[in-house]
Amino acid sequence: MLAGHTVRRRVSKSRPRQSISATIAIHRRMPVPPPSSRPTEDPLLRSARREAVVSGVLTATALVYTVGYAARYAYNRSTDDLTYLFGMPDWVFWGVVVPWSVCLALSFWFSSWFIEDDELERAEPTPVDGPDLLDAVLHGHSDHGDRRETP
Amino acid sequence: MNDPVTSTATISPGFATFGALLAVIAVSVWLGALAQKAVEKGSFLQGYFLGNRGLGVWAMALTATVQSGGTFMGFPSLVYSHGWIVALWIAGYMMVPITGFGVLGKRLAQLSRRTGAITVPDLFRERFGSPRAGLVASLLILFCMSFMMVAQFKAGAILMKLSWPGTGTLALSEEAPADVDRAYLLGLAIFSVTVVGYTMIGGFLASVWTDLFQSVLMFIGVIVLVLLAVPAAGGLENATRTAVEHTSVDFASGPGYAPDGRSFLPLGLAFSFFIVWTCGGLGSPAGMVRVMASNSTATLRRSILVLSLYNMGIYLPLIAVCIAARAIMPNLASSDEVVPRMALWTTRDLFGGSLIAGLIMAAPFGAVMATVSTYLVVIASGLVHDVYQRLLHPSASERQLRWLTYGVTIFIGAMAVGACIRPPQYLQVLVIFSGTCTASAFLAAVLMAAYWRRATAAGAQAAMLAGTGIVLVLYAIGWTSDDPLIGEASTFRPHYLLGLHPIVWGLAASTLAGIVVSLGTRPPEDSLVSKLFDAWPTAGQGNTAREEASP
Repeated sequence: MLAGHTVRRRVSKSRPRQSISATIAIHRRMPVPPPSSRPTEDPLLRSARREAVVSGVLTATALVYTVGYAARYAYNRSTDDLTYLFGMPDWVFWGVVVPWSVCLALSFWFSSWFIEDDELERAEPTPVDGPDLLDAVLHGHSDHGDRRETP
Repeated sequence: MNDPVTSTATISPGFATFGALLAVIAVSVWLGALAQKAVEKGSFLQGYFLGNRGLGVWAMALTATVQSGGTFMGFPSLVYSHGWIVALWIAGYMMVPITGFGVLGKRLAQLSRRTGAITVPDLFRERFGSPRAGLVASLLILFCMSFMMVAQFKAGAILMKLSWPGTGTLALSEEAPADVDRAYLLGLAIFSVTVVGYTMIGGFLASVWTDLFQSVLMFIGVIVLVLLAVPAAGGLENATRTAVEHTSVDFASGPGYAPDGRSFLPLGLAFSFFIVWTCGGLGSPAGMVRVMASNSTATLRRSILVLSLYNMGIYLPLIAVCIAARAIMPNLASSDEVVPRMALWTTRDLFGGSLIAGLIMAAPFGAVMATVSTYLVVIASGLVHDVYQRLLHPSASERQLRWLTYGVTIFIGAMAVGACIRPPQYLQVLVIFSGTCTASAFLAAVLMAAYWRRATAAGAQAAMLAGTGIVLVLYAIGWTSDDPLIGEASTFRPHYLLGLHPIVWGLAASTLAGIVVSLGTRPPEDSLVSKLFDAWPTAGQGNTAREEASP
């Protein structure tokens, strides 16, 4: 569906980036700690956070517009002043259908251009651990320790 | 135009209508069997409850935000009753695709893989290193989702009853003869056995694949219906004017028409419902499990566009259909039946009309089945994996878990059926209650878990309990106090504090409790947080570091 269109891709690698402490260290001519010992925030997390914030802002904007428009034009109407566009009451067209169409276009932009593709790791096995209460009750002993389900 | 309601009393659905529903059932069972083969490929748990994390775009887009019986019976019923204002009520759906996938999708998919979690309670347990957080999540899921299940079983039974060939009376009136009750019960039986059956054999994949099949059916059904219904009413504007004549100008403006003088959607509720749909979808455990099963982040991204197109093609046309319905049949006794009745009436004179009616009615039926199977899997996974396996008996063998899962699925199905023997009322209200509860319980907690390092187990639990608590309190107050005459007419109504729906208060309380308690309790362990928030070394470097990091 989106073939032929280049999408921004970022494959997560642990690239050492200069942290604030390193910057300060360099500025004060102090020894900079080696990059491998400083954990770097996962790139997927960073892009996901950014996308979450933008999603939230877009939603809030849609909310304000839609409810605001309705507040002004949807209430206290009379049969005389009610007009119709494409078969619907005017406030439905401008206050619901138009923003909905804009959101459709926004979805296209958001999904095709804004969101980055990140690599997902191979899944860890499902953990199954802890004391076995049933065994303890039935057989008088419990089996502690880690068990991992074979993937 | 003479009132066709009296004539629908004598239109009985042909056998082709019922046959169409049976065909949907047959295809669904076949998909369930296919799913079972796919499940067998991997480990039982990951296969049965999470489809081995292999969901692609179509499955993700059309099944992650679960369209339910609410979409096709509750929502149309409201449009029919109250008019165009319901377009504002449902308007939040314009942002559901973006919020549904864009806020939490990627991060949940990643966390699920990093922790091995296959259910939402698993996710809480592993993220915070706290079995108790997992248990609290399990119990709340079981509680909130049960309501939704019961509502759906009722809807399914009604649909089967309505399609039963030969029943002259379609209305659920008090003087309904014993035949109608029998048809309802028989419908309930067939529906239950089918859905529980294919879900039981195929698990998560069965529910996803049947959901996808049924979503496509729904789309086709709605488009066919709108193309038949609107012209039959003389066009949309004409339909509105006719309906306004029968009711009042409130049918085409806010706060909506209601014969008893109630105000269906005052501004506070318009604001609230935008939040109900955007946050409710986002906070739903069923939706979360779907994104956890994504096969890639590109899938999540592409699903946004597919779902946006789909939603627009479902909701706006459905509104048009029900406005037309109000013009065509202005005196329906039970507004829940507007879609089936319109399907039957608009196709009565068409060649092959009975079959077309069946196709249209298969749409809501499919929606109900999809919701039920999804919730069955989530609830079963909660009981079998989160409660039984992780809490009581971790050394259970795969065979034991499998049989336990089958038993639990049947049991939950039977309980839901039992609750429906005397048809509960207010499908839509139950749906909204369930969504409100889950969003208030989980949204803040999951956002904290995904994006905030400082979040603690205690904070997550506080968020879950505070959110649910506030919602329950508001519904309890509403139950015992006088009808405020706003919102939907129902005895099961909440108290609208300051004119706002409980979801607003639930989310606020949940967020506040989560933040305050997290900051007030000991910070989580660095190594655990680092494992879930920091970049993992790639295969070429630091393999040893990764082995050391895993517990």
